Amino acid sequence: MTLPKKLLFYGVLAVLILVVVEGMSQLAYFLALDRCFGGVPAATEAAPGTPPPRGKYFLGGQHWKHPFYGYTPSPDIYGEGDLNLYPPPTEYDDTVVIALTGGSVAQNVALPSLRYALEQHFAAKGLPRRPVLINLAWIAMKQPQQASEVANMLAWGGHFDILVNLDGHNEINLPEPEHDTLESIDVAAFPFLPFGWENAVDLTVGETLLAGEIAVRREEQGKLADAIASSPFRCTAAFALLYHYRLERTNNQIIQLNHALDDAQSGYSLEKKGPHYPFQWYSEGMYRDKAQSWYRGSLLMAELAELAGAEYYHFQQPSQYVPGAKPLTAEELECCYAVGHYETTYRENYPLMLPLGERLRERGVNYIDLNGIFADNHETLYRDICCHFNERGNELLAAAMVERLAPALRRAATGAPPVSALAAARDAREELLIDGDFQVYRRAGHWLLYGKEDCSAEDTAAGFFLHITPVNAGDLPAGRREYGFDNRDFEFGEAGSRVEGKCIVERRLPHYAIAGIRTGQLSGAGDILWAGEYHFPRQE
Amino acid sequence: MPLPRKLLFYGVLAVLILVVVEGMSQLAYFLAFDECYGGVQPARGETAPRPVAPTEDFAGDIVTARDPFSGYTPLHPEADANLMPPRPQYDDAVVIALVGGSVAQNIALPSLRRALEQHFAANGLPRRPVLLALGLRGVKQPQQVSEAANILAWGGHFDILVNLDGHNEITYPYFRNKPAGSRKVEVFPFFPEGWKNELGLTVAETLLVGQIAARRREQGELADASADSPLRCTAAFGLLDRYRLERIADQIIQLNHALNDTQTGYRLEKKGPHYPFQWHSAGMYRDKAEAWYRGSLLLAELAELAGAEYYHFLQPSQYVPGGKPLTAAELDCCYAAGSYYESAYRETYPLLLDRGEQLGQREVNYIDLSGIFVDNHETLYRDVCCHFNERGRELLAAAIVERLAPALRRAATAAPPVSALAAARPDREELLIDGDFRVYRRAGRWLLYGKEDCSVEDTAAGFFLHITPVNAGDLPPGRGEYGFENRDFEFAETGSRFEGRCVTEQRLPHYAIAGIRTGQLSGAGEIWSGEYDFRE
Repeated sequence: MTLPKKLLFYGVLAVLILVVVEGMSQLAYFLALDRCFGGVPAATEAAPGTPPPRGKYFLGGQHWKHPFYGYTPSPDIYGEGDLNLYPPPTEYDDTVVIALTGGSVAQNVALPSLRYALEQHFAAKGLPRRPVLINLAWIAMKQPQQASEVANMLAWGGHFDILVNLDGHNEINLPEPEHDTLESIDVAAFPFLPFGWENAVDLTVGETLLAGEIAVRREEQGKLADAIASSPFRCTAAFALLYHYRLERTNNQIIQLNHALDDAQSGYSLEKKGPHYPFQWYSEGMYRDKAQSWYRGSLLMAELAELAGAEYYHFQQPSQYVPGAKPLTAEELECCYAVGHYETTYRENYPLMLPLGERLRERGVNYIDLNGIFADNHETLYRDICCHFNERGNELLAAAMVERLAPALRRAATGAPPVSALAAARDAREELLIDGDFQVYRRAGHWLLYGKEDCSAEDTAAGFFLHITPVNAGDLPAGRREYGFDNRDFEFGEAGSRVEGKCIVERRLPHYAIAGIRTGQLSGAGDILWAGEYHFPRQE
Repeated sequence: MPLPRKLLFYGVLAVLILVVVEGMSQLAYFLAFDECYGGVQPARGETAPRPVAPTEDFAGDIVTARDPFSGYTPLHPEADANLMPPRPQYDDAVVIALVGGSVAQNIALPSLRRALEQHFAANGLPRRPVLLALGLRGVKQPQQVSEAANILAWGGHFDILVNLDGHNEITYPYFRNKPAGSRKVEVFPFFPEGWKNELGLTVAETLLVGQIAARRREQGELADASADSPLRCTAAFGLLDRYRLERIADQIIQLNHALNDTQTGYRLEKKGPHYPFQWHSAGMYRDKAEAWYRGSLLLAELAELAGAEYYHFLQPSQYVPGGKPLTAAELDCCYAAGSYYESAYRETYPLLLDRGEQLGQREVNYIDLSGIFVDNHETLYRDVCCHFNERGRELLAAAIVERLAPALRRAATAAPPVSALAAARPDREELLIDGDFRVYRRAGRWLLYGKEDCSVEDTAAGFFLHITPVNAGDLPPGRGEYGFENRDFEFAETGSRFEGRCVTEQRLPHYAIAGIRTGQLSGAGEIWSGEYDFRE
């Protein structure tokens, strides 16, 4: 056979083979899918969608998950609160550190009421140190979160001289869902998890892997469909058959993964719901457990305080639902007393706390039930049906607490600072940076302390300027880059204290590496009254 | 050419081609990897060594769940860390809680439990040991503190608290919390390992994590398929296999880098508080040692509150100079010269020694176990990290029990401690069945079988335990037709003997229980049985 004839023969053979293959594919396509092949469809049949991860936030979107006490306030909203400081507040010769734990009532009373009451008390009694209030209280916190917060603070090197726990309401009310929501709950969450934890856990780790794999398969599906749509062979049945099976395989994988995800999300999940809990809601067993959890949490805190060389005070917060605790005004009865859930929970649980409170006292815990403090008060002090106080209520509550803390405050302010075993592992270094009208020290790495002896009111009338130059200009806030330094000017009134003729004010340094600071005071006319600067050696 | 000759020719040609391909592959393998090809290794029983270079792998897997008090917890609801109510205080048992990372986790069962049982039997101690295994991979201070505090807060108890740690405190603040290529501390070193990746992820992050999971699965499937392939002895196959595996490994690294890139920028939730020191700085070395020290002091204090004794063991490591004469096998499998482990131990371990001295001065029972293998010439380590093979675990468990002996004797012979916490603990006990064995319910969720004057014959027969739930829907699949769950067991599984008594415990399931029926069965039928109806 001549070459052209050979080529013709093989060409015809190849075409015939392709035609046979295509014909067989058309037949196979029809048999397999029960329809004739009509070209690649424009869009592929969608597999069930990937459920998007739910919101990362809970408790109203203002809180972030924390690995050691469930959640912590978001600094985006609340700024750099005491809970999120590192290094945490440490031990000083010239201060009394009072740490406050509890839920939202404690959080609300802390600033400004309790801080103000403490400052007034120190000033009125001439106590030779200044009070520093560390606010660890936060919305919906309940035991054992307070115990965990304190353990964590000490583990990270923090210190307090007096630990104050103001709690009781959340421990009574938050472990159980409200009566009217019971029917909507299929699997109950463990009552001693932080409030809202099950909503905080958007996807479990296992679910994340499944959701991620679904996303991967869908991406593959899309790429495959794109590749096929642009292929020159897309009009052949043979190609379509292959394409169809590959897409279908991916589609089936997605369906299987979605089923696995559905299975993973239904029913009980340890990660979201916590350990299985043996008692029913609103059962005797649960009432006892709630009171015991509150009691154990307090004992743990007392023990932790002892390790820190601190005194511990446990205050039971007043409530409008404790019978006889306060003559409620007409306004309070209107705004702030709800017959139903809270009334029931207090009736069932509060009496169980009383004997355990007694036992706390027997164990040497400074446990004080504040429920009697408003017994003769006829003002409107509550502001909602939960537990919260209006401004007057916060002031009175803070004053009552400070009055009961007075002996401990005196001991802490006048005795030698406690020598705790933890102190051996705490960063309490202090170095003089600038010796101006005020002496400026750096403490514990990240605090600037301004101090002046024989300090008059005039000395603190002028504002302070504080310019911080970072090592990397990129660390500056956007609007400050053109100046080359961060401006952290402040007034003495913001955070300053006067102790025995001394003036002291603390400022926290930013977290980035700092090249140097320049600070001083400016008169109202803009004249520099004094100034000094310090260049930090390269940071460790 | 006649057909047979043709076939012979093509056959020889094919063989020659294969030989040339194989020879070229052998050469290529040698040139590429600087070693001769030795065949695809069959799957190993022990875990493969962890990567030496610090990586920021997605730490999440399906064996842990996030926990709001200690970062993460074993996923199994029946794990000791997740029991509710937790183990109570017993008159007839000494509860030993063990905390720490994966070395503590690995040593607990069966090595430490067996060593404790043998010790109690050999010394005729009048109670039985109950081990609370709280060790979990990756755990480092202050996670142990949180675990112990949580157990106590939830009403649990221990008579002896044992902390076996040190390695994770030295290496993990860096090793598992450091993003690849970063000099700056971006993830707070004292957050649980991998915390940032175990939080809820953005959609983009979820996609990346899923890709990593998919590639990992592919990697595993490929490795399994290769190990089973009849071609696994040829270099051509090995070359192809290795390149495919390395390609996937590269993809995983790239995906992890991409994951890190998407997570740059500070977020407290993921990265924790700002940390003032650089990686590998004197400040960070000091901080690591101090965190370890403070954690131990806190554990000691919590133990005191529980009326328990506390023992803190610093775990042995192949990276402690002079800690053990390493065998050739250990040098090969388990010592990464020039690795981060080596430098981390060089810089931080001496600081731990100083702090350990201080713990001793503070009356903490602190014991450095680094020297226990100083004269041992066996192969005891099994990877470059810190983990021991079976023999190593046995020896380590024996060393721990030897040092715990005085505390074990005190706890087993003295009156149970009366701690302030005991007043708020669900330790009710009620007799349910009075058969050959007496069956009690303890602390709500435990069945306790006890028999006085108990012979070996009394425990030879197996026990049956049928549990009928209130709601049939709670039964495991396959049990619906019987109407009860079968939890039969042998005494040897969890039973103890002391002072002539036999005691064994079984945990009840979490669902509401209508009744139980239990007893013992011989080949000839029931030896004894009894039942209890909880609804009455």
